[in-house]
Amino acid sequence: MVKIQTIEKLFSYILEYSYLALFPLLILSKSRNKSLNIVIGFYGLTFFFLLHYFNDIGRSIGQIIQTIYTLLEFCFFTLIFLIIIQKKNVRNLVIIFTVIFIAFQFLYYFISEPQKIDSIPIGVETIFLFFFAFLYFQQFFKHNLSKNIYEYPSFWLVVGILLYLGSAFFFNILANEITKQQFLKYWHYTYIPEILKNLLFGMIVLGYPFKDPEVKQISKPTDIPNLDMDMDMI
Amino acid sequence: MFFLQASTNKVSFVLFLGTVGMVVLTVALIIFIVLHQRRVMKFNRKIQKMEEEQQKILLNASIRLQEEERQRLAADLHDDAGPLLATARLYLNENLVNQDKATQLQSIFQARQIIDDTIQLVRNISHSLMPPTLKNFGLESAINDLFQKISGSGTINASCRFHDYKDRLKEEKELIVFRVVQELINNILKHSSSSFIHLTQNVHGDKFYLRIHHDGRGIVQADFEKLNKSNVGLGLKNITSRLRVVQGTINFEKDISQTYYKVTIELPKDEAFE
Repeated sequence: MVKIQTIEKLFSYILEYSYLALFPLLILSKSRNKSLNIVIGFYGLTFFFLLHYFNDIGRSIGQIIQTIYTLLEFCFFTLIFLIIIQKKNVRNLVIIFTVIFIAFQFLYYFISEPQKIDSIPIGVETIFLFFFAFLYFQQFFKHNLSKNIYEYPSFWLVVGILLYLGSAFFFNILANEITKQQFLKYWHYTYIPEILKNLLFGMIVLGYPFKDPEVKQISKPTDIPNLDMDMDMI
Repeated sequence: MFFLQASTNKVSFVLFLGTVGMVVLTVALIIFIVLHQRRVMKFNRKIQKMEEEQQKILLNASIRLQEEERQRLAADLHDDAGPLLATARLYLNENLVNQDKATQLQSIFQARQIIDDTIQLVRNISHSLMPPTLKNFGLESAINDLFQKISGSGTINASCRFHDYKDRLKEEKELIVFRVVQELINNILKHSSSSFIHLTQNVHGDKFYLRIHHDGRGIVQADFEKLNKSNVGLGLKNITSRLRVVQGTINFEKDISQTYYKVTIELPKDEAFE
């Protein structure tokens, strides 16, 4: 039992510091998309503090923290989608859904009773983010067909979000229906996809794909022999 | 509420099954997207390859046509101009000074006649390369001229009408359009057995249109594309490659009344020719 608790604690630490690591990774970043890196960096920093201090303040103002946690998570993921989706119409649609979600969150906060976790907002958040992922893939197939999808960093971001939300979806929905013992028993399993998501995010901040195949193929015009006239000879 | 009534074990089972199901579903979705994209990419590459092949066929056709044109020119010069000049040279040989005046005059007259014929021949060759009417007066006059000549033969009724050609196309564009029209007319005369050819021109928005109607045997777009992909139909390939240079398109169709064929050339209108 002690051994299990130690492993759970280890997972908890790995998760917390995997969030924190996203911020200093900004310094090592080779990725060209600065705005995306900044969002991921601040996402990591924010959630590190939330997780780190969640247990301390969570008991007294639990419902506020839950609402803020879900809201911030949704907003950061939406920001990522807004950066990686290029088409204006689709971005507008994402913004509309975000406004709807924020309004719903506020409404839910005032009408609901405090619970273990805010299952309903998390469920709605997951459905909305899955919809954004669908919009992203739809846009992707319309415009980007020159390279394999896995060569795009945005794909791995969406994969990370989908895995994280998808694997924790049932747990979040049923969390209020299970006993506290069961809750504590299964809670730590949701850390695995969360850590995986953070690893993928870290990989993007570091500048995945590390070698751009397009850049490799294009040679500079000056490299082609006998193409230009030698000006020194004239 | 089903879950509230269910035993904790049942909830655990549902939780386990649901989580595993969601993970499998998400992973399956990601794999499906990757595989689907690869399939689409493969299909696109295939299309690109086909387009490249088509481009190659067109290029080959254009080179072959150019070579044929050169051969025709060489043959015209060698077979017609060569013998004519050689004959003229015979009339003007060294013995001419020893001949009597009447014979000298006769020889000079003959030689002059031959040289005049040669000049005409060279002019014809030059005109076939670049019609002077087109260069000096533009596409409308050149096509009018061409149609008048065809009509003048008496075998076919050829007419044309330009509705809006105040602003001439660029010189090189005019030449390309003229060559395309020439090729089309040539095909109609050779293969269609039609009794009339009518050409109309108009401008709509930023597009320039030419339409040829004829009542003989013709082809539709599907036939055109088939011929373009095959090894025959050199002239049609040449039309395609010429139109590609000016970002133009061509469309072959049969009129709704099924009585005549229509060939429509569409190309972007450029700024007025100065």
